[in-house]
Amino acid sequence: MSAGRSREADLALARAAALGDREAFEEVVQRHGPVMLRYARRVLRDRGDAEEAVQDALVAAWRTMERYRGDSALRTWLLGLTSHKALDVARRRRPQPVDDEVLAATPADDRSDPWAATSGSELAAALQEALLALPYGQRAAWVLVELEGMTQQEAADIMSTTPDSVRGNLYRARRRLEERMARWRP
Amino acid sequence: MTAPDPGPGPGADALARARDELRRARPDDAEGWTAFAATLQRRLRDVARPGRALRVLEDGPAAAGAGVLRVDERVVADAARRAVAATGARLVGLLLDVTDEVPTRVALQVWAPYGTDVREAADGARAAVARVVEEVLARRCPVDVDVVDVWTDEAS
Repeated sequence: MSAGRSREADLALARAAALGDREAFEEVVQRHGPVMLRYARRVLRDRGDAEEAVQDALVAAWRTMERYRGDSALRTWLLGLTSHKALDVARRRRPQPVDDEVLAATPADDRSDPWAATSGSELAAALQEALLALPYGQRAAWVLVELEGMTQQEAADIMSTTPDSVRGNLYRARRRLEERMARWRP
Repeated sequence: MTAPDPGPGPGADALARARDELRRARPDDAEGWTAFAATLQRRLRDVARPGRALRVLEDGPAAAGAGVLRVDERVVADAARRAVAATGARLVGLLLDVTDEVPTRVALQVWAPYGTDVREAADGARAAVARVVEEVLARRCPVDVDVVDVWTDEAS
């Protein structure tokens, strides 16, 4: 299906779901839920936390589907909900005042790393661990742009910020990740 | 003045290779997704949303999801579509909210031609359907009529 027709189909499903059509919303979940879950697993350390964030985001989507106006892609809107819920979960895990540096000071815990077993690569697992050590804003921006292929504008929409802020977070994330990955150079 | 970009660091190549591996990796698995979706469905069942039956009045991907309607609802839907058409707009969705077998609310989605005042279109559709509802349903019970959404074409 072309991108244009896919967007039209999403809009029709969103309209029906806004009216209360559960089958239409189930179709929305099947189409976009896996991407939401993948994103949450990349920005949150714990698999259970990631699933909780996506569950919360989809429940919020069901309750407020009429707010989706079609100005952005439905996936962008849903990832925006996911991003906010993921940040809520991350903040609940750290009861101190929210500070990006505090969120970054999380010790490694391979037992909860959802990528260690599935990536099949120590290199990829090392990057995932380095990502989880970044402040949340840098981590989210890098995941959205570098892994999910979003434009900086789309990432800004998802994170409820500006493209300039995304650009700054990307730059800082890239520098930190390069430092962490330096020991892996051939 | 902004400091010049010092260029890629020593780990840039390793970062690029690791990034490409992560792009290809898929932590999702069918069994995990199935369990996740089942949990989600249980949560959604507990979320109150209006509507027991939906009549989608235009063809589209969601049309196949229309529920089975009783005779009263079909009468309301058909009469409402004609009434809204008489205002110059088009009824594209109608939801009859039923609580304890008693109709309590009708929700509408309306399409209006480009340039139409959205509020006037909503008011016109609401009034037209309210008259229909009075004739068909309100003899037996009071029913609220809400216009949930008004869609218009973008300027060409």
